[in-house]
Amino acid sequence: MIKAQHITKSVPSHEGTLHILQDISLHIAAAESVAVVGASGSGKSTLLSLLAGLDVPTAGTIELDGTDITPLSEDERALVRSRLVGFVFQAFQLLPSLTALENVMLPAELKQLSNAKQLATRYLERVGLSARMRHYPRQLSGGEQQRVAIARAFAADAPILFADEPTGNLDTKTGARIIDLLFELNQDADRTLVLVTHDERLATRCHRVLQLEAGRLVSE
Amino acid sequence: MQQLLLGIRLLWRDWRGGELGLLIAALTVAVTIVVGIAQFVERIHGAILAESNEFIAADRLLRSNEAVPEEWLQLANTYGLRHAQVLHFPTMVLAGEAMQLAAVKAVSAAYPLLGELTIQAGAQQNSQVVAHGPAAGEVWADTRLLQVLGVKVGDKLSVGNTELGISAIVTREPDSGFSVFSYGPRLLMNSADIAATGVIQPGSRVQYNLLLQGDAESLDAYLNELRPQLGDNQKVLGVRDSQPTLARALDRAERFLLLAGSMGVILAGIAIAIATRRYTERHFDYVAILRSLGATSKRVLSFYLTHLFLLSTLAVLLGCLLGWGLQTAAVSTVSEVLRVNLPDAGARSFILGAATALISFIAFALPSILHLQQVTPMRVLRRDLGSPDFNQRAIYLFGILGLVSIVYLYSGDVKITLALSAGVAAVAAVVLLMTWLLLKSANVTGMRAANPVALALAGIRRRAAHSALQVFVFTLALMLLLVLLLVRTSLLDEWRLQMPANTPNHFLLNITPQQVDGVRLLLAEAGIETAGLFPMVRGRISAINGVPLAEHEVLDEATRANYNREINLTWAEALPADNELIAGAWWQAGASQQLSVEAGMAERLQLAVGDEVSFSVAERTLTTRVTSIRALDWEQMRPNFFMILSPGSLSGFPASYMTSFFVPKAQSAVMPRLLKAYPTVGIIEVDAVIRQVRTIIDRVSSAIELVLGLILLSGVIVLFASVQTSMDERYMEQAILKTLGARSKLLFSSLLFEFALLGLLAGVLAALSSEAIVWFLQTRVLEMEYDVHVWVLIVGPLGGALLVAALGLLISARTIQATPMQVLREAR
Repeated sequence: MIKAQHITKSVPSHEGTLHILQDISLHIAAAESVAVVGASGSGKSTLLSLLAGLDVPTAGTIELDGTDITPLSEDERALVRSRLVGFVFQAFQLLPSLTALENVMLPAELKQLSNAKQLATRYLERVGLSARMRHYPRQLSGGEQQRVAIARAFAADAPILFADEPTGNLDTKTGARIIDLLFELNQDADRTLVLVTHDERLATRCHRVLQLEAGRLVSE
Repeated sequence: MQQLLLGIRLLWRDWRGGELGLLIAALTVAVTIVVGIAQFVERIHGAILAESNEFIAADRLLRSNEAVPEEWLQLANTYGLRHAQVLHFPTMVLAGEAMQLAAVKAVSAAYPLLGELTIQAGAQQNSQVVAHGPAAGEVWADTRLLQVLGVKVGDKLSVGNTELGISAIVTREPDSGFSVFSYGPRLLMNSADIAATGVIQPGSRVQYNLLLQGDAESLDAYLNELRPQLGDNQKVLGVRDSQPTLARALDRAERFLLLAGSMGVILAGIAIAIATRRYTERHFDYVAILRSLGATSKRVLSFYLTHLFLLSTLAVLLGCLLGWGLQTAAVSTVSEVLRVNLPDAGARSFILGAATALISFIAFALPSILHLQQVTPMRVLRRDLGSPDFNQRAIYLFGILGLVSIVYLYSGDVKITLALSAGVAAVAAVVLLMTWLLLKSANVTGMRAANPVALALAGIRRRAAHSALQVFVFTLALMLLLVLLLVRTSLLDEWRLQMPANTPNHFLLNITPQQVDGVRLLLAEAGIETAGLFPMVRGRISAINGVPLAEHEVLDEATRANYNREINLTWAEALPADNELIAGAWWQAGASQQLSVEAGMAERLQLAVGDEVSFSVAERTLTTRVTSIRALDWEQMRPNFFMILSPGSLSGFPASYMTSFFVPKAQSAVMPRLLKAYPTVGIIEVDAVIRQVRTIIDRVSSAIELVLGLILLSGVIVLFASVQTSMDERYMEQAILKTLGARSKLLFSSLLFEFALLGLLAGVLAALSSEAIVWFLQTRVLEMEYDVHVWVLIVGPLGGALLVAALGLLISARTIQATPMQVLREAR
C-alpha cells in the first residue's frame, strides 16, 4: 500500500544543508499497522509528512496504492490525499467554527458524498460522542476533541490512516482510551495505519515498529 | 453547483461560529457610509440648489437688452422646459397729481417658475403666499410706492397710456435682488398690459429676462444650442452669477461634503483592510486542514471566492438598506431645520456603494485571499510552517491604489484625491520610519513584567511591526477626523463673519450734494450708522496712456467693448476700511489727479502704477495717473468702487452720493420718513436677500454638522476594529501572564498605558499631518484663508490617547476578567 525508496529530505540552514532524513526505504502492506518511533528530532514527523504526501522528499520516490506521488504537484497530491489518506493529529486540528458533526462531515463533503451526514453521525456514535455532536471544539475536552478527530479520519473513508502523536496532548488514561478506540475502529475498517509516537504501549500494539535515529531507519 | 452549495454551507458555519462578524461589519459599514452620505449629500445638495434657485425664480436665466425672439421660446418648448418672461424698466407712475419713478417689473403668466411671492390684500391684511404675478389689468405695488403716491389697494394708477387697478401690496419677491433697475419703489404688472401702456419705445432702457426651468440635461442641451446665437448683450445666468456670496458658500459646502464623504470612504476602506487581514490570518489553519483533507488549491480558492462573493453581496444589500435608513433618519432630523422638501436621491449612491464594496474587495481582500492558496498542508503538523509568505508591499500597493480610486470615484475631484492621498502617504512614511527605529532598538530581553509601564513598553517594541500598523491606522483615523473638524470650523466661522448680524440691509443712491447733510442728519438722529456717504460721478474710460480705448491694441475686443460704458468714479481722503493696497502708495502729497484702481479691473485693463488713464466725464476729459492698486472683498455688502480718485480731482463735476447702512427692525420707521423728505433718493432694500442667504447658509451648516457626525462614527468604528485585531495577539499573552501569577491590576494598567501611548503617538502625527492637509485644502481647494490651529496640537495627542485607551480597555475588559483557563482554551 505504501512504498518508499531511498527517500532523503534535506533543508538548507545557517550551518549548511541539514539532512533530516537519509536514504529511507520501506514497504507497508495494506491493512498493516506500523509505528514510527524515535527521539525528538529524529525525523519521525517529517517521514510521516512525506508518506502522507503533505510534503515532497528531496530525493527518492514514494508510492501510495501504486501511484508515485513524488512527481505530482501539490494539488495533484491533494487529490490523492482526498482519495487515500485520513489523518489524526497531535493538536487535533479541528476547525473551531464548525461543530463536532460538521468537522466529521468535512472530508466526505469535500469528496461530494451525498451521505456525509449519516457517515459522520455513525462515526461520532462509534466514538461515543452522539450526545455532543452539536458542540464546538472549544466546548469539548482534549480527549473528546481527539475522538472527533478520529471519527473524522475514519469518515474520510480512506484506506490509509496517518496518526501523528495522537496521544501526545492527552493524559495517560485518556490516551489509553483513544488508543483502544483507534485500534478498534481500525480492526473493523481494515485500514492501513501509520503511527508516529513516543508512547511505548501504543507502539507495541502495532504489527511493526520502525525505529528512526538521526534521520536513518535503524531497525524494522 | 455542489461546490457553490458547499461554499454556502461553509460560509454559514463560519458566520454562525462568529468568524465573520468583523469582516461583514466592516464591509457593511463601508457600504452604509458611502450610500448614506452620498444619498444625504445628493438630497441636501438638491434641496439647497432648489432653494437657492428661487433667488432667480428659475433654474437658469437669460438676460438680454432686447426682446427674446419667439423662436427661442418655441425651442424651449421642444426641450420640454418651462419658461417665463420678465421685463424690468424704470418708468413714471402717476396717481392723480402725484408721480414717482418706479422700478417696473412686468411678468408673464408662468412667473415665478420657482419660489413664491408674498402679498397683502391691504395694508392691515394678513400676508399670503402666491406663486403667480398680477392678472392682466392689475398691478401690485410695494408700500413705498403707495405711500409716495398716496394711494391704497383698490385705487387705480397710470402707467403710460393706460390705467391699472392696484390689487395687492407686494412684500416679497423671490428674485428681488436681481435687477439693475431695481432701485426705486417696485411696481409689478402683467406683461400682457405692456403694449397698452406704450412705455416701451425703441431705445427705451429695458432688461428682458427669460426664466427657464427644467431638468439639468434639457437645460444644458437647450442652452448649448442657443449659445452661438447669443449677442454681446445677452447672457445666461445661474444662481451663482447673481449671488457670488451664496455661490461661494454653496461651492465650498459641496466640496466639504464631498471631502467628508471621501474621508468616510477611506475610513471604511481601512476597516475592510483590517478585517480582511484578520480574517485571512485566522484562516491559515482552516486552509491547512482543508488541504490535508485533500482540497486542491483551486478548490480552496473557489471556496473563498464564493465566500467573498456571498459576503459582499450580503454587505452591499445590508449596506444599501442601512445607508438608506440612516440617510432617511438624518434627513428627517434636519428637514425640521431645513424646512424644505428634499428631492429623492437617485440610483447613483447605490451604484457607488456597490462599486465601493467591489473595489474594496479587489484591493483589500483579494490579495490576502490569493495568498491563502499558498498555505501548505504541512501546517497541520507544524504550525510554524506553511504560513504564506505575504508580499506585504504588493498588498499595500494594491490597497493604496484601491483607496485612491475609490476616493476619485467618489469625489470626482483630482485635488481632493491628491491631497488626501498625499496625506495618507506622508503618514505612512513617518510610521514606517518609526517602525524601523522601533525594530532597531528592540533589543529588550523578556517581557519586563515587573511594572506596568515597562511591560507596556516592552510589548510595543516586541510587536514593533504590529504596533506601527496600529499607530498608522489610529493616525489615519484621527487625522481624517481632525481635518474634517478643522475645515468645518473654518467654513462656519468664515460664513458667520461674512454675514454678521449688522450686515447693511439698505442702500441709498442718487443723493444730491445739497441733500447730503440732511440725509446724514436724519440718519444720525435715528441712531443709524452708515459706512459713510460716497460721492459718485459717472464717467467713461476714454484713453489709456494717451491711446483711445477703442484703438487700444493690447486689450482684446471684448474688454474694450465691456468698458465702453459709464462707470462709477468716487473720491476719498483715506483708503476705505477693508481695502488693501497691493501696489503703489495712497495719495502722495502735492500731486493731483491721482487714481487708485481695484486689482481685478487693473488686471483686465492691464493697468500698472504710473499708467495714465483718461475719463470722459460730462463731455469733459479728465486725465489721471494710477498711483495705487487695491484689493477688496466684493462679498461684503457695502459700497465698493473700482476707481477712487484723490480728493479734489472730481470737483466741478456733477456728483451724486450713495451710502449703505443697517436698519434694525425696531427702527424701520425711519425709511418712510427718509423717503418722504427726499423722494428722489433711490432706496434698495436688501433685507430679503440677506435673510435668504443667511437661511441657506444656516441650512448648509446644519447639514455639514450632521455629515461630520456620521464620519466621526465611522472613525470610531475603524479604531474599534483596529484595537480588536490587536487583541487576538494579546489574548494568549495575557493568559500566560495570568497563569504565571500576574494580577489583573498589572495587566490592566499595562494595557492602559500601551494603548494610551500608541494613541498619543498617533495623536501627535495626526495633529501635524492634519494641519498640513488643512493648509492645502483651504488654500488650494476651498480657496479660504488659513491660520495655524494651536489647539489641535494639544487636543490631537490628548484626545488620541484618551480615545484609544478607552476603546482598548473597553474591548479588553473581557480578556482581563476571564480566567486563564477560559482564555487558554479559546486562544488557539
